[in-house]
Amino acid sequence: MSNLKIGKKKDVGHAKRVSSPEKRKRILRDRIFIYGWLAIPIIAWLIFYVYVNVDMVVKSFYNNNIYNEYKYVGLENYKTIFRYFTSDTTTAGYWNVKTVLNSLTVFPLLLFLHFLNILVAYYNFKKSFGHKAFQIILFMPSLIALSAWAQLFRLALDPQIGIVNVLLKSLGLGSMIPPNGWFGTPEIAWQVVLAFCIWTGVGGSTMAYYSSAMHRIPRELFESAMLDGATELEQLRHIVVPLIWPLFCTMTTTSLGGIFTLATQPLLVTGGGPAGASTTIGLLIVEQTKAGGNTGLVCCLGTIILVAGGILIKVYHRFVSKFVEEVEY
Amino acid sequence: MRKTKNAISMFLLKGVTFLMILLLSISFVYILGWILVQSFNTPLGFMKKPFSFVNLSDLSFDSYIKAFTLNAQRTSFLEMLLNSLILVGIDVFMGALFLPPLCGYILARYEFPGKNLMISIIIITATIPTIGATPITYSLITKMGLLDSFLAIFVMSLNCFGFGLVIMMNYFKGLHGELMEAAALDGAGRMQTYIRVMFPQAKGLLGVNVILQFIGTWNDYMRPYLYLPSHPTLALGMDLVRATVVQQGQDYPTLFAYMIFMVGVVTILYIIFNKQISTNLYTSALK
Repeated sequence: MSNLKIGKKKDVGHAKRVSSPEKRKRILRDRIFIYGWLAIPIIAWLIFYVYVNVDMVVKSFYNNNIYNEYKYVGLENYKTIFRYFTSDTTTAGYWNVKTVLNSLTVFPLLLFLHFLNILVAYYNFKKSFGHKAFQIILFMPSLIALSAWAQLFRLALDPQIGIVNVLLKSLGLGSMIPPNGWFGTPEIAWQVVLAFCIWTGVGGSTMAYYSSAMHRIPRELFESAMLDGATELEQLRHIVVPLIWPLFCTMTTTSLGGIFTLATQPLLVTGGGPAGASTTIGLLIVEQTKAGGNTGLVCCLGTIILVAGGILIKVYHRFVSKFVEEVEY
Repeated sequence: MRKTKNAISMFLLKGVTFLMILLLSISFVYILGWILVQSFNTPLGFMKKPFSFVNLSDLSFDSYIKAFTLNAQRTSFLEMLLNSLILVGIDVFMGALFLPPLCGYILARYEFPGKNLMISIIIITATIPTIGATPITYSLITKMGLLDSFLAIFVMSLNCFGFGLVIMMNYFKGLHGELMEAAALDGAGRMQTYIRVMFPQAKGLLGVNVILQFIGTWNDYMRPYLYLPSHPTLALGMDLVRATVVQQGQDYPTLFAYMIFMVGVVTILYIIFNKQISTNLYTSALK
């Protein structure tokens, strides 16, 4: 953090407070260079961020027919979505309360995974038994494609060639195996997706970020704590957790969006089925986009997500960053 | 008393953690080892005994030959590989080498009106979920006539506002500015200063970003799924391959050979650059 400020003070690039015409010319050239290059991402951002989001909000008040003619309907889409998302029927495809409930479980899941990743990172950081092997093996979730993991997961749970059923049977737990297979039973389909998320969610880059944050904590802190007779648990609670808290805040704040965006995992594991039992809001949007259904309705959902997500992230961030002061002092 | 209680709870915590990661590691190693071993099996040998080791008499490389020459719903393996490489090429250049470092450098090293506004816009863009705008983006791409074309990916990657840009900006802020000033005094142009002096200084981080971008794009599923439906990449093609070789002839070993290739490429890359990744990224990115 500190060198960041020094860098700023020491040099301000080619632009400096000047008055002579020559220097003014230089500033002009600076500006051409700066704005010329920044214009590329700014224009792309205006199109692929501002325009699409504004158009999304506008279209949320319209309905379209199959000829792509839009008709203003006021708040009708919002009412429809509210009606759909509070009913548990499947008359409206996957637009039902199950989809919302599934999505809401994503954030506790992600928090739980962050907790596990911190534990694992601390385990390796303390050079506990087998830490070198674990560090390498547990990086695999970030290395291998999610589609490959999903394929492996489905192979492991396959009724014919899957190892899981064989293991369960040999442990005398054969009754646990659902008769319609792990992916064919609506009641457990979402749990299967959650199991997949946990299986591939421990380790990987999240763990690597936490463990590198731990390695950046000054050694002396631990040394003096050990001289004072602090146990490893106390070191975790009073040194490690407060010092990696900012990282935790940033990482969980960004994963809060996962409530609305998590789509790849259910798409790959269950395809959102059977009968939409394991759909999420994110997957709903992706599938509706591919199918080209009622754009107005999807845009309305997108608008709700934009507003709700923005507020949620703001509130959550304020909440967790407040918490850090209490821990630190 | 408190001490012993703490020690016991730490022991329990560590024990539970150990058990958990042991089970996880075993499951990873087992399942990957299983497909590796079985990829050398014959389809018949596999279906007879899916869990035992391959009979030496059955050992064959047929499945690899089949995987590399297969046609999954009119798309050949080589086509999928080529699609993956094109996508990786676009992303590595656009996402790791061209715009994020250049714009990060400008934002870090120059003062200009609107700079702070731009930085806060970048951070907001990176955090707030905008998945809801997918249908609009999709129809926009369709209207531009870019659906199913790699140009769509290129055009969208021009919008480099995100965490990658923030990381590059912080990195360039942390560098010392003497070299830059010296270059300016020598009469080097602004772009020259950047390419000759600043860009090389960020080589380590840029190299790591290239590797990570390679891995990320190689594994990417959602973007090809949405925007390149008839140009399947290797990651996207896995379902096609499964449908072709497994559902038609129970030929699991070919699917395994395909997966081993996919996983193997990034694993080798990671093993080679493991050290650079862990030292470079995590010291510079976590500001």
